[in-house]
Amino acid sequence: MRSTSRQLAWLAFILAVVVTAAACGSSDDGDAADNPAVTSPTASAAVDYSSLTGTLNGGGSSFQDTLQQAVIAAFADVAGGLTVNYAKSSSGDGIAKLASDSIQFAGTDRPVKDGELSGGFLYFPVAAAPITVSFNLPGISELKLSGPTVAGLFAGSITSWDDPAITADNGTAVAATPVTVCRRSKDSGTTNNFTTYLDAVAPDVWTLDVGGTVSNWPANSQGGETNSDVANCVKATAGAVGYVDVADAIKAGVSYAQVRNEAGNYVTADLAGTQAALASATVEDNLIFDPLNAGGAEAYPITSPTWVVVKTDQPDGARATALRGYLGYLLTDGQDLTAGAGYAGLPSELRSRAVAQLDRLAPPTT
Amino acid sequence: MTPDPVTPDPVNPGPVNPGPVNPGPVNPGPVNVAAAPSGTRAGTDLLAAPGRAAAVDSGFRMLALGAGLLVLAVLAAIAVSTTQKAWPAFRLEGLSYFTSSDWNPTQHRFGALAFIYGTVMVSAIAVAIGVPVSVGIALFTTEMAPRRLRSLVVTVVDLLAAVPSVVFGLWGLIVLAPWLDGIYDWISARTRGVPVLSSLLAPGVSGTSYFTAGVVLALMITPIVTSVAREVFATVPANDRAGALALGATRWEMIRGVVLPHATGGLVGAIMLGLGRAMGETIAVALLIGGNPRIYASLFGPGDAMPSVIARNLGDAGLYPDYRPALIGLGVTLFVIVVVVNAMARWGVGIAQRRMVGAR
Amino acid sequence: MTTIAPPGPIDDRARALLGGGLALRRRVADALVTGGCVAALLLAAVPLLHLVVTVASRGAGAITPAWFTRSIQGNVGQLASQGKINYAFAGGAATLAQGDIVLGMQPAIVGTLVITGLASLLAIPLGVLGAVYLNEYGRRSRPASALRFLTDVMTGVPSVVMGLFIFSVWVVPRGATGLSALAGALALACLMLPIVVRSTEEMLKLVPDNLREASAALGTRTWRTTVGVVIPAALPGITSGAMLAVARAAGETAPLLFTIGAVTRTNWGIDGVTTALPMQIYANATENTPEQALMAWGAALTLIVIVVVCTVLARVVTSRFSFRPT
Repeated sequence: MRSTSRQLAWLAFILAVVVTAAACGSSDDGDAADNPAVTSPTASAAVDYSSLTGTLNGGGSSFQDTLQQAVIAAFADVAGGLTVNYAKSSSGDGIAKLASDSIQFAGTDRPVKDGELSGGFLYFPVAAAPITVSFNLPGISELKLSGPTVAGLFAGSITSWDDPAITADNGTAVAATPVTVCRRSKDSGTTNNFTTYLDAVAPDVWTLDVGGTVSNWPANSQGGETNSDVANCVKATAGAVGYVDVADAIKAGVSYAQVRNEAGNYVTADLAGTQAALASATVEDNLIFDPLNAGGAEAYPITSPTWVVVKTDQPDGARATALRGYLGYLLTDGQDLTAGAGYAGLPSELRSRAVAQLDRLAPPTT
Repeated sequence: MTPDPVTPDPVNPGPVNPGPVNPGPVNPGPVNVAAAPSGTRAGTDLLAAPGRAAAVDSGFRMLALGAGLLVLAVLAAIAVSTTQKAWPAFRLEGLSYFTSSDWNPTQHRFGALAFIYGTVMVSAIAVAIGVPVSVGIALFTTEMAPRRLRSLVVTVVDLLAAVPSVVFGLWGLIVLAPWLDGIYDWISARTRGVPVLSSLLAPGVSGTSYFTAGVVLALMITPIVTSVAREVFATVPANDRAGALALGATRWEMIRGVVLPHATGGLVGAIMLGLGRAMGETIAVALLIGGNPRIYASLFGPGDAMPSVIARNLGDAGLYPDYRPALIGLGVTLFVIVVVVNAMARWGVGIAQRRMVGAR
Repeated sequence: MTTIAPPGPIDDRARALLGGGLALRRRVADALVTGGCVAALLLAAVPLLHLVVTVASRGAGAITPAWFTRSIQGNVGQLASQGKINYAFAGGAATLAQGDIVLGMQPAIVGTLVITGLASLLAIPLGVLGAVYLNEYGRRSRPASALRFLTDVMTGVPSVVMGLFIFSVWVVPRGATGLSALAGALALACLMLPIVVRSTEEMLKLVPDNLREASAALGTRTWRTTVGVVIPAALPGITSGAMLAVARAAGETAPLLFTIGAVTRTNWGIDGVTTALPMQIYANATENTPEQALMAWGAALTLIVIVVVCTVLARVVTSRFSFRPT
């Protein structure tokens, strides 16, 4: 045997040993072995998460992505056998993927439109969070904006930051920079809720589309795929304004404005304002709720709901059990993570109704 | 004198025949003929079972031919299947697919002109910056560098080739783009009012722009252009070089008078190879070009390029009707452009090589 | 007696021959060009150096033993449950100390190894066989030349088109089970195949014909000569070329974008959704949290190390195992 072959054989042998050692040396998930048990005051009675197995794929709304990722990471510590993945894109995209069964649960901030999903489906409320009006004005961290002003900024009728409407809201001139609008490029629940708000608060100013997609954004507006792309757009462009969920705005380090609510107060996008808006939201039978433009002195006017949508009929018992397990966690222990992630957790009544609805997730009766 | 070991070129394993370099580093170990304990037995191999041996030989030949044809089959499959799947979009839009810049999937309109413009613009910037740099490095390596420095330069170029494009994109996005943003503002401020330059160098929106993507692409195409240029320069006859120097030419005059004229054909091929590579680059451009689906007049503005649009959107393309065929259509357009450019490049380099070899 | 005309006016070249030195203009031009070439070298080397240093310095913080054993997001779930990850309202930011975050990248590292390994298993044998045809059987014939040309053309096809191809013919028809390591490996194999063919062919070409002739003189068939003489002789070069193709494939992102999906736990098999290092870098490049930035830089460092190791091994194989005539 020539020395070349022998040396190569040795190399292959060593590589094989190394790879085998790595494979054997690590458990599938090193986390479960060395973290303390996660206790929670609202721990549901004896749900054995560790017996769950399989893989659940979810996706859709980028608005709830921060919360989903936090809950998934915490869930992995208690349910070592069940892998959950959430891939953010947009609400519309999540619903489309759920329709084609590429994913098992879809995150969405807007209701499902007629014809998008065939067969029965269920809404599970997840949380609520403010949609911030984020801006990038060097040197300025505080800004007050009334509803019609916000509508004018995004409709393109206000083209510079020294517009009289902005000066009126703030009492003093702000800056003489041109406005660049950062918005979403796909069918987005965040866009749906934001444009619904704009149309409700200033119907004569907001002349563009209302819904998940707007076809007539101002010509120089920049499109982003997800909430974090819009946040990055605002961060990178002086004079930019964009609508972003609060978690992504904080992560990007952009400032966001105080918006005037129905009661006439300028409210900032914080936990108190969101919870106040949630408190006065009505809940429908299918667990759709709407805290947009809510009344109340402390309510933040652009508070958006967000849900997980699943099909009622599941292909087998294992899938139904896995979904019930993960969604149950999301609705109980997962709610403890909402404030830290930048969301307001569900009020207790809505939460118990959602947990009760879990039983409707059923495998086929045959 | 021991010849340098020949290493396969990481970026360009191809078109130039390294024949004249050296046939040295081959291990002529013991010839491993079918085990034949005695001389007579070896000789009888041919005579004993000619049928079977011939069958095995032609079987092996078929196998090897099949593998070679597999390459052809895959290439044909790519061309045919992507065109077929893109056809609904082409049929829907007709020629306006290539001439309209109105790309609006939600409204069922697919005009790809803005992306074609973006691809061309970014590649042009990459070639304009990268080719002079590469030719300079190649000249340095072949004409000017002392022996020890040469291998250092080769190492630098190899390292440039080894860095994955996504890492270039990451570094460009986080480090280079913010820095370049300041430079763009500086340049825009100084060219305001100048007739052509003011619109070409108008302020953009942020650091991600055609120019940023072009700069990073220039870094990425440097290895391939440098390596082809080096090979082309190396085949310039030594006699011509020596003759020029003997007549008293300075090194630059020798390069200008002997090396560059000989190398023109090969250099054109190298440029087109670099162009093809720049046009096909996906990830670095996706991160750095700014993601704006419209034509932006200024070099410092955001735009989008064909491969990047595909990369960003194909996963979610089920959302709108004909969106996926339209994106695959972008892939077909890109494929055709790049294949044509590459084919011309290889053909040009091949001609240049034959001319040079034949001249000796 | 005839007189010899005196020599004419002395010009630059004559002056040079007489040892009088060059005109300033020519010396300046020469120096400028030399300086320009050195500047070109610096223009390429300095950004490269900056990139390597940035990746190393920003990514080093992520590399711990846990990097290779934990799932993606490491202990982020724990930290969230303990309230330490705080994107809360009213000016909250992550209240984490640098050492608190322990990240894992095992799924992506395993994914890269599995996908690249499978792609190599597919592409390298086929590529070597194809090169054998081109160099041993086809030689300079018309079909072989055409095949050679088309293979060259295929090396230039953008990687995103390979991914697009596999996506539309393999992933989409399979619906929910389409995304997998196998699909990614197929896309990478399409990418590697022409590269392996051409580099192997170049190495086979270097094997001197007298070896083949000697083997034929002993009565060996072509296939046995190829398998027994030519390939072993060219083996270091072939290995080297294959390693470079592997290094190139390991760093590719575009073919994987639509073929492997995304996952946070290690998937050791070739079925089912998985992730890979380039995907992790791409996904985290535009994110803003400190832990995601660390994931991106750490994955970039890991990927560069893998690619550089492959490239260096390729060089070592060539220089160590090749025969050098004394």
